[in-house]
Amino acid sequence: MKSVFWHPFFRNKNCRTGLVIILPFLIIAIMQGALTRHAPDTQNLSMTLAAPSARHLCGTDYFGRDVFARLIFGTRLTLAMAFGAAVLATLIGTLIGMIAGTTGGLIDRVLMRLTDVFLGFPRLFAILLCASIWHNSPWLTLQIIVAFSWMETARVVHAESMLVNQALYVKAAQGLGVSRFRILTAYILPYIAGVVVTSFTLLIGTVIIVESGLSFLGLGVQEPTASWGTLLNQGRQDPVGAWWLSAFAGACIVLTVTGLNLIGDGLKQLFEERRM
Amino acid sequence: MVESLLSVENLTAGYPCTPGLIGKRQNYRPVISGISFAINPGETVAFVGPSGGGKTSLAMALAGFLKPESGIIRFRGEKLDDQARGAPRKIQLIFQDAGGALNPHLNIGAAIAEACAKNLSKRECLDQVMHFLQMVELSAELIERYPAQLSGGQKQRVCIARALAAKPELLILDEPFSAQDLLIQVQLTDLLRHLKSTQKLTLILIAHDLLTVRSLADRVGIIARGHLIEYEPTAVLFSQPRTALTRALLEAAELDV
Repeated sequence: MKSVFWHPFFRNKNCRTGLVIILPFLIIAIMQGALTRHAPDTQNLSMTLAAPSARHLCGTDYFGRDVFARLIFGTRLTLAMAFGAAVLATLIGTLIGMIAGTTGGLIDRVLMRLTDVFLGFPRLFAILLCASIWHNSPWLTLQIIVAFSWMETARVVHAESMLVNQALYVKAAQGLGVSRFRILTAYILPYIAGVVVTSFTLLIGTVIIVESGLSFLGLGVQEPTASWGTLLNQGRQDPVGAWWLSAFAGACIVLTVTGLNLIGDGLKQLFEERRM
Repeated sequence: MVESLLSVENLTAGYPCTPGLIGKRQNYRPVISGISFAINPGETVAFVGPSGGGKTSLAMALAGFLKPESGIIRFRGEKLDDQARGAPRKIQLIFQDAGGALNPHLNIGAAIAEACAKNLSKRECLDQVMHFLQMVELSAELIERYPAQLSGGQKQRVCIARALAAKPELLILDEPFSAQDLLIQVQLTDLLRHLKSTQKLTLILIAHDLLTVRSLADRVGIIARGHLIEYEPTAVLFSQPRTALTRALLEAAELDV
């Protein structure tokens, strides 16, 4: 597997660049406390809104908390939520797409119309509505994001599954009495693995933006918990005077999403090359 | 009187050509219609005819991949729809595109093992795979290889081995000789003759060239535009062709009628 996948992965320019961008954030998320001597929620009211300096690399916020420490601690939460939501949404989308695409008939029509209903619903409005009705917590935010993020994966997987379900080797397996579960896992899934991985990578970026947007509006992760979105939210009160509050968090979001999109594009190219 | 292994009565089958707005089938285009014939156990029957005549569709319908619109297919006296789902079918079809019929993600050993009985241990399954590979005269070294690493002839043999592992009573080979060089054609003919005698298999060969099936088939059917226009013992068909198309096919095969 290594020689088939990893080597082309590193040779692909998009994948390589994306990985170089993402890797520091992953290291930050893992090492977290070891990278800063400040605690993310320790207040120092005598040093509020201090500009970036040698002592506070990214300045301090309204409560005198170190922005660099909050960025570092927020990295883990933001990435964990993004990965978690993307994993769940990809799983749901893949399952629905695969079942609909390979079963056909009424089940296919019902599942795909359900997907269409969710797709047609204005996602941001739905997420904002849900987030304002229920109490906020990272777990709830994650659930809401998952509920409105699986449909694109389901659509793509549905189309691919329908295609491979007509392949001769699937028909041959049916004739040999191979079980439906085995056909799904050993015949359909390897074929659609490429689009699933690509859509998963792209979904992480989307989830980061949605989560940050929710927290920015005060509907996602709540203070004093640190996430990139809550930092953006703090910065909106004085985006020019206290630019460091939102600028560094914004840069983190832009960089991570760009990196993930590059990896997603690279993987797409790789899987398309393998199919040809 | 010998009971037929397979009997087909007035079979009509085809494909929907214009799907309806809410998923209901609106139009239906039959590709085979009114086909009737019977095959005795141990017989080899060839269906020959011009391209697009419905030979492959007939094979698909017999193997259970194309639902008949009307007519009855009986296997050992039982209607074909009554075959247990999830069990290997007693009629196995070797597709024309042998490469496309093998899962590119499974190696040859795993591909053949798919057809082995579910209650076998790993060791027993491996022995079976080796046995069937040997039966189609393929080396045991191929077991670890993937379809993309095999030649066209080898892929075809793997498909035959896999079908044999499902213990079929009737084996249908769709254009087994097309896209094969002469040497492979001869080897494949020998292999089929050998399997026929040792495994007591009933075979259906689909071909577009009469010459290739002459030495193998006991009976030949001519299919054109979805109809079975002639169905005779091989010797009779070759010596007294009744239709103009059969004569044309014989001439095309450069045979002296």
